[in-house]
Amino acid sequence: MKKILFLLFAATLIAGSWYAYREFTRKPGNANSESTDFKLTAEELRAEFDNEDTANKKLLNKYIEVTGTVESVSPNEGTTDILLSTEDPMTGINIHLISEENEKVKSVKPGEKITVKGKCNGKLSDIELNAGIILD
Amino acid sequence: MLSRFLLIALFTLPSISEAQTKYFTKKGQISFYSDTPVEKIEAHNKRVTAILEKESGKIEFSVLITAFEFEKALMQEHFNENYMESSKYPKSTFKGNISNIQSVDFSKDGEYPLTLDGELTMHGVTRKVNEKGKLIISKGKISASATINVALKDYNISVPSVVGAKIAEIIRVEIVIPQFDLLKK
Repeated sequence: MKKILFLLFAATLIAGSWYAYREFTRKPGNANSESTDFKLTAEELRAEFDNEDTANKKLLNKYIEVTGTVESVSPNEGTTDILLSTEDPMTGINIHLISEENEKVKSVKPGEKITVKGKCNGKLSDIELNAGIILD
Repeated sequence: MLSRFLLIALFTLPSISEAQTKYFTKKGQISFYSDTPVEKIEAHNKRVTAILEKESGKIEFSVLITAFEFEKALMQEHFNENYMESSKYPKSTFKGNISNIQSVDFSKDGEYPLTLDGELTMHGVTRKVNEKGKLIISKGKISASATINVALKDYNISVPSVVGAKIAEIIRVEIVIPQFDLLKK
């Protein structure tokens, strides 16, 4: 009986330590590892931010698939930002890609239609998404 | 007719009086560092919006809190959920002036020390700050940097004593603008 109790205790300790270690070293999620919360066009996403407070409550930290036309592709400190245009010339959708997308992004050209996925950070001059990937 | 004239005057006058050479970037960087003997924590944000008016020295930064990237997921989650409460306060801003902008010769390459006066808003708290930075002119391009030391308690950010030893009371915030682009003359 004592032996069983000891084994149970040891197993719990090992499982607990393993869990704690995994939790402590866990990397932040990105669009590859997280499921999609919303699918929107670039213009639909821009329109959501007509009311910034409501949009933040609904979309902040959510992973969104956004389809739109590429306005520009620009390097940003080892990764790339893709800007999608909307009907408002002052506001685009800016997706900050993860560095794993560095190769794939080379074939993305302005004017193309594209679907990207990223985590919504909110709105500055553009609506910003990070931890992003290219889907299609 | 008169009202129409007034309307036109109303819209054109401010634009004349406010004629400023504006510089803009969406790719400013803010990093912060918390060093304690127990743990070093750092986070980076490479999409800071900044606007600078050359003549008046007026300068503004805006940054989205959830766009800070950490090495570890738990740090990022605690930062957003427990300390910065980013769903409640998604943005942080600095609005102020470079008080010695007149000493910068924009036509001459060099490194110019700056004095920044303004208001920093973070975690729903706005406080006056006065910090040093520098502006670098190189081949007609303008870049800038500044370091701000932020005391967490000044911005009502409380760290539970259990994790207190891991997080510094004063956080070093480094702001780097790799390049300002001309916006409008």
